[in-house]
Amino acid sequence: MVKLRNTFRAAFHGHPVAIVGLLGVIFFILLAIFGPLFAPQNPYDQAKLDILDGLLPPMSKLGDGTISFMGTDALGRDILSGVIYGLRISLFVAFTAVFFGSIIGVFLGLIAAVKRGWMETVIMRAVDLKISFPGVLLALMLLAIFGSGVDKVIYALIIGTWASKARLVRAVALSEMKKEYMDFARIAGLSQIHIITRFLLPNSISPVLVVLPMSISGAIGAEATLSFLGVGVPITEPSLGLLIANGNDYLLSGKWWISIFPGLVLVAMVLCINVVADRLRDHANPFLHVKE
Amino acid sequence: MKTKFFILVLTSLIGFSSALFAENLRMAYSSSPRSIDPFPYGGASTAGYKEHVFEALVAADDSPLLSTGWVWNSPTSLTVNLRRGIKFHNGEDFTARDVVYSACRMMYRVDGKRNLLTSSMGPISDVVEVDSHTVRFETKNPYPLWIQKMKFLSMLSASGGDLRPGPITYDPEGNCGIKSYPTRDDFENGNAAVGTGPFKHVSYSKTLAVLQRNDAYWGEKSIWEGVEISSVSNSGARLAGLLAGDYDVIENPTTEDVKALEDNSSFAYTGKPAWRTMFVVLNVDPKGAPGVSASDGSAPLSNLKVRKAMSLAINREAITDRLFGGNATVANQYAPSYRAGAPEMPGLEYNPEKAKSLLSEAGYKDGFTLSFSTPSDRYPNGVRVAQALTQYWSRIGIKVELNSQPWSVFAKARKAREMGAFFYGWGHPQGPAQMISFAFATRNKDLGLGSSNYSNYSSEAFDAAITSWAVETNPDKSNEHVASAMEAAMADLPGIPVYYTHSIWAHRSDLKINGRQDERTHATMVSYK
Amino acid sequence: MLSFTLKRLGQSSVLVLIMSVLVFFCMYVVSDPVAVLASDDFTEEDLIVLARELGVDKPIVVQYYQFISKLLQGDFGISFVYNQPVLPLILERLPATLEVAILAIMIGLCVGVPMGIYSGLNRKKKVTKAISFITTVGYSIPNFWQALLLIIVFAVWLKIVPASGRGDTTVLFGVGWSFFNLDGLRHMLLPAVNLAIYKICMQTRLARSGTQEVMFQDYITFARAKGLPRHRIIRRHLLRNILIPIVTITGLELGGLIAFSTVTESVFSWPGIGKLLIDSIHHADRPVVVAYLILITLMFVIINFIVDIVYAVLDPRIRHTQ
Repeated sequence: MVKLRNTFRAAFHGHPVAIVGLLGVIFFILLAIFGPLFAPQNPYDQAKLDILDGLLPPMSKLGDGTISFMGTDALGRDILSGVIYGLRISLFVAFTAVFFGSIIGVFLGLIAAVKRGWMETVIMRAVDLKISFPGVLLALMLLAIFGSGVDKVIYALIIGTWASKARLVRAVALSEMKKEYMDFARIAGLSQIHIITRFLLPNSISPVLVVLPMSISGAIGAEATLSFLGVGVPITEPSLGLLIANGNDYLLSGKWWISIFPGLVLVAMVLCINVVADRLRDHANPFLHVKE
Repeated sequence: MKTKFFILVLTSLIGFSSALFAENLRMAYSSSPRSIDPFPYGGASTAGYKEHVFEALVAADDSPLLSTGWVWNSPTSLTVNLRRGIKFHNGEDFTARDVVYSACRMMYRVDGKRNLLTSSMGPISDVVEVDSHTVRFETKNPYPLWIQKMKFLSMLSASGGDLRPGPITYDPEGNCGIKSYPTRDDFENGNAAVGTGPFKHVSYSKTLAVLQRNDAYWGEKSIWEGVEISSVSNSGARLAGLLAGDYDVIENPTTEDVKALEDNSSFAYTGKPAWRTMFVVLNVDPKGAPGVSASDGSAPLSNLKVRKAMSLAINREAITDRLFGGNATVANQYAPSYRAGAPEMPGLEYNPEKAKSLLSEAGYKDGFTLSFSTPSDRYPNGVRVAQALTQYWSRIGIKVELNSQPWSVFAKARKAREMGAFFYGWGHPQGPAQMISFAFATRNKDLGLGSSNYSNYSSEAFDAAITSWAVETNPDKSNEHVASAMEAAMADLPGIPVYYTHSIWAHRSDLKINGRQDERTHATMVSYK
Repeated sequence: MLSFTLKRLGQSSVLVLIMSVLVFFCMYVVSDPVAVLASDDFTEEDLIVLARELGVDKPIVVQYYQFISKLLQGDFGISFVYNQPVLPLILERLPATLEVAILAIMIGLCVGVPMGIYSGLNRKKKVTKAISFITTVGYSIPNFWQALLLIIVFAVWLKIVPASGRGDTTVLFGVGWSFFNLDGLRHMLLPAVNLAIYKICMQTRLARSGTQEVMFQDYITFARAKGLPRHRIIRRHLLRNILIPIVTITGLELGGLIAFSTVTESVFSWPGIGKLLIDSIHHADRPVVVAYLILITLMFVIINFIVDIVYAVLDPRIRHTQ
């Protein structure tokens, strides 16, 4: 725990941009969790929406008197509320998918490194297979079989993330296993499970942790793209990506607020995550500790 | 000095006027034609494209085109008089022999595959060349719909290949005794793309088709020397292409694009009500419908009061006004009310309070659960309308779950009858009874009725009226039957009509468009203001 | 060497086979081509006949068996939607995708690598920090949004390039190319730039971290001690050493661009294979989707293979540990 805190401090000290990024991430997460308490409207409640409130510019009044700060979309959804609720979905989907995807990836990567043989071949070729399989088709298949829903998108994204983690962990674990202390552990008679959980896992996992924020921002973008192509989250509960896609139609006709506000929020959020990711990665890179 | 000036003015005038008559029209369709072979496929872009090159006996608006008129000698015999003085692009005259040949070609299966009218021509027992400009169609049973079907039989020149001179006998089983017909490749490379239309084929690829004016056209020659038809399926890209000057006319701008054009003086838009009804299909099976459930286990959609309530809850004016900016028409029946032959029907009421009380009366005071599906990529604004409907029904207490699916998934679920309520649109190029005859009639193979009856609706009164319509060759009596059928169906509401679509074209402001109601885009619609 | 090649070949064939099974059954589950292609006035008979024409009336395993036997004879089947052989359908759209992909990669390399090297050599400068921030923004923007913004700014407001479509092509070796044609180049610019923005950001970061790693090495210190001028060091030592990872990653990215530029091709209406894929998925055109993915898998396999070989050739350390 102390080590974690020290690492954190060391990583961010003297890098104002990264600190701002970190604060940004924290802000968005808090907004996602507590935002609905402050949102002017519940954009998912179909009985409260009215198309007569549609396409109003920012700072207009809705039929029931609430002020819409960011304007409304064609269905009368207040964009600000849509952004807050959409943020929740975007973040929830991305975090959940990357979390479970990483667990699966790390698990499989370790197996591949430790067991070698045919298991390794199967897992690594499965990684190759996954790269060639279009995410769109996968998401469409899940949609067709199981119907629409936020969980189906998460499954599609989990399948999308596990492969890179598996590959990474296998490479790192393989080089870890060549190190001397592993020989000692084996000679000392420690069981394989013990070796894996106490030594291999903690040491192989750090590259994954470094890549994690990047994965999350990638997952946010992937979910947005899937929603844009029509195989993402349900349309009555839009994520940021779906809001942007919905607003694309209106960009050329002057109703910029429908696409621009969610777009800016998405870019800002992904940017903050990426800035933090960069800093953590640079911090972990030993070559950068040497002053020129 | 003066002479030079005069010459300058003269040459620029000549240059200008020749530019006028040497101009190309560049259009952008919203989907690509599947082929320029006029026989296998339907669909708006394929149909729109092929009409430039090929023509049929009857025009899309029910008027005679290559014919001058027709008469039913008996309920099973139709004589069609052909227009004189028409020449194909290869210089050959258009005669009755070409009609028989085209009918034969329609029945000929390339690689064993069926064509657009293969089953529609099933009831045709013979096509006879009476004389050089008269043709007679014999049918097995009364087949008044054949007039409408003739719109899709493109006229091909009976020349070339191994055709022997002399009359052709209509014999679909034996391919009329002809060994080689033009294939799809022959059409696409231009060899067989010989029609009577106002334009000649120059080149074709799935994204760009090039046509040239037919200066020997029998009708009014087009002002356009050449036409280029591109296919741009992304509406944003299509509009951007218009604004950037790549196209002169585009199909189907979105509602928002249309509003943007109002402020732009270089561009304009033209709308025309089309023959498509958008409605909600309801599965009225008393045993229950998939995705629809009530706490007491009953089948809410089988209750007429529930269906009426769902119709009363919809504010159709808000939909046509807010979601379409006025470019849609409120529906009052299943056929577009302005379609020739459609009966006069009263308007549909909007009254959410009445809807709620009707729902209570039906025993669903606390509502019920409804799974409502819509294709996500098929109808302009379709998904938004579906969401608006969801809003209206939610307000009267129904718990609606909206499923927006890509067409491939939607079509599969619909065919497998897995949907209890869905949003759909029917075109009416074949007359005012087209939709109701397919969607609401009890299935009748011989008369071709009810093959798309997803409502599980069956009514004696309706069936009586529609079966009379199916065999009535007198146009006035036919319309009476349509009126009875429409009244019977509207009284039961196995589907809820919502609105009629408009076709919209966006174009340069110095052009004007004479729109069509069959959703197709044709160069002859476009002229200078 | 040979055994490595053979082993890879064997594994790859299995891979392609598995891919074909997965996609085949996936498409079967997802959609019904008869439902998609039938028009509303089809009777039940028409549906049955259509199923027979498409070849989908038999049990799915039989269909797969027929598909594989045809495939082994080089016949990729007939498209449900276009009713044409699939392979020519894909190949005729390949040049369009290839051109844009190659142009995007070239832009990415030519802009990204120099920026990355500069950033790596001048870590403290403000410009470097600005570049670093801009590249991070660059790959934070969702592709489909970026595409539309590019269209609005450059095609609609500034009117310097067309908004969509492919424009004129020049025919060389029987194939139409946009590259050798001014109109074609103008049409190609925006889609290529759209793809390139992400590439530029990635290449900049790669080049920067590669530069930092290399500059830290002993041989660079030695070269400097020797008195070599800076530009000499960069050209002779730095470039060669950072090119290895850049080139290998570029190879992999090329594969990704060719296979999956679906969003860019959709928004720009660029008639490439990515658009063909997404349209075919949506129209339940199974033969096209399956053939496409088999070809793509093969392509990735070959690219991976070449990358591994090139890597081994360029880096003697790897060669000697094999």
